[in-house]
Amino acid sequence: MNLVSLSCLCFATITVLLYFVMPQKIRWLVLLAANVFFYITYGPAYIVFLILCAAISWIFAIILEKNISASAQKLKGVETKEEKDLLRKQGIKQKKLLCAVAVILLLAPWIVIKYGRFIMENVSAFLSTFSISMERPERTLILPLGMSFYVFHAIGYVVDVYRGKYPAEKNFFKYFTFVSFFPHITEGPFSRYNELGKEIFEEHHFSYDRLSEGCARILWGAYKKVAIADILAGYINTTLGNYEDYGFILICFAVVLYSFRIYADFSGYMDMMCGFCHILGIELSENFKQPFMAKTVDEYWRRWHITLGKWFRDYVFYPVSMSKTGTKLSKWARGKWGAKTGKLIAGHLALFFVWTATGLWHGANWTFLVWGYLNFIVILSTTQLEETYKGIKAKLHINSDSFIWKAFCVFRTFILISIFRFFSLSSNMGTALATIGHAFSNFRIKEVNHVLFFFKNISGEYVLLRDVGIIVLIIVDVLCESGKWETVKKKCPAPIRAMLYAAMLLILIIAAPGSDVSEGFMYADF
Amino acid sequence: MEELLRIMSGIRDDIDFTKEKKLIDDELLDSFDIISIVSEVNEHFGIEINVDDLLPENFNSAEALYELIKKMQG
Repeated sequence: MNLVSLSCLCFATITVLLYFVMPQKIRWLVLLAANVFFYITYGPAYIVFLILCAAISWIFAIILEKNISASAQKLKGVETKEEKDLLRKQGIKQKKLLCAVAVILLLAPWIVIKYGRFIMENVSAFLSTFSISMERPERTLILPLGMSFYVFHAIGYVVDVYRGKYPAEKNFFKYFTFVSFFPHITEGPFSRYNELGKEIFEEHHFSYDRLSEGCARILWGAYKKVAIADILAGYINTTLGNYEDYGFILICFAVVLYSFRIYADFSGYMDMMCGFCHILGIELSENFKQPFMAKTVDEYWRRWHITLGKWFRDYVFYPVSMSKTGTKLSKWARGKWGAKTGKLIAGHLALFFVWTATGLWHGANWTFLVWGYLNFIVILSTTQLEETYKGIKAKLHINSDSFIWKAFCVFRTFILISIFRFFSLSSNMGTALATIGHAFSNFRIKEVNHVLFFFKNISGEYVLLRDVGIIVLIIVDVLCESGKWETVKKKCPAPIRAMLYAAMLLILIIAAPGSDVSEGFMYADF
Repeated sequence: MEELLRIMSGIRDDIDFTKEKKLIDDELLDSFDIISIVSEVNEHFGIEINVDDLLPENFNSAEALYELIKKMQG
């Protein structure tokens, strides 16, 4: 089901109507039915993976909880400290094993489907260097819709129960409503059961305010998707797909536009889903906080795809950095390189794992790994060379609080992030390097004339829509960043607001034929 | 408590740990700060704060962390 379509609008409307018509106690069943309906419209066969994933995580969470309470009971009956320590260790070992088995069972099918071909190809290429031939897989398996999201939801749930953060859900259908929740299954946000589960199952009353706020946000999200992201798609694909025909300026311009495209696309989806859930009274976690206003790459990743960053922080960064290996490494590094580096080394090791995982999560391709490591290197250098940067700034008499310096930092971060995208948007390493090589050896200064108004493959009206869209996007982000957005919204007279919404709707209708809606949302492919 | 405040200020001298009560909720501490604090606290107080203890309620203020340390020292 295309999310920006009449069929989806009907589906959402019927879901909202049924939700508020039904008695409070069974409203979650409406959501469960909507989730199943939404999912099977993409392919009924794939729901098997979703059900299996939910069943495995649900069963293991219950077993884990029983195991934890049984261990606690046993401890109560023991008096000596030695016996207590022994029992405690046995209990921890058992629950660790259970948790590890659950995580492996959940990850295994996802890894086979998403990375099977990539692993086989690389193993085959490696073996061929020793003249050992291995048959390469002929076809790629199709990743079921949202698998990269629901597998992570399930793992998060099992690990949280293992950590004792909240009790396991006893009702499978309630848990399945959370895992299959259609607003977060295709592109996130990554939700936690104790937060979103509570939102889904608590009582909600219909509110006209929430209806209007939710509809406005849905409209804004659809506008970003259709009038900005999809219009940009054609130009970006044409330019980067035929990079030999263009020079440095137009290639770099296309990469910069790609940054806006992916932001409009992904945040547009989030706005639509958050808006829909807001109507129901359910608040989804926010995934964006004006990412292009970030002054460092590290800060950018705390503002972009926030819930993915938090997932990796809680389930990869902390466990690795606080593991026994991490602690030993820290102690060893303290003796060798001093207290400061010693303290950071375990974090850096964990960060390396996080960026390897983040790169691979986005795609089974070396381009994503390189993209991840570029982010890692820049973030690492920011923490490791902090004192050096401070020294340079002091020597150059730079005032860190001045507007010009802050603006420079924002610009620098945006450019860095865009440069990294040379890799993440290329189909393979060869293309990425060839594009960069071609751009840097063909400056073609005359292309400046083409940047603002003239492109070979796009008509004038769409260029205007695109430029207006990007400007509006930037203005809204600047207002949000300065904390003035809510005031502007409140102070804006109702007729003007209505006109703006009507204009957005009109632009959506005008833009739809020129946009590339068939491409779907970009993050659904991850 | 004095020792804990000294450790925390040594890691982030720009935060007043005697006043702040929402170190995690307001995102004043980042993940590197947290693992640095945990590493120092573990070593100094002879305890083992592990990943399961990394809950906002344990790290939102110096007092909360001090309570966790006292609980672990038993």
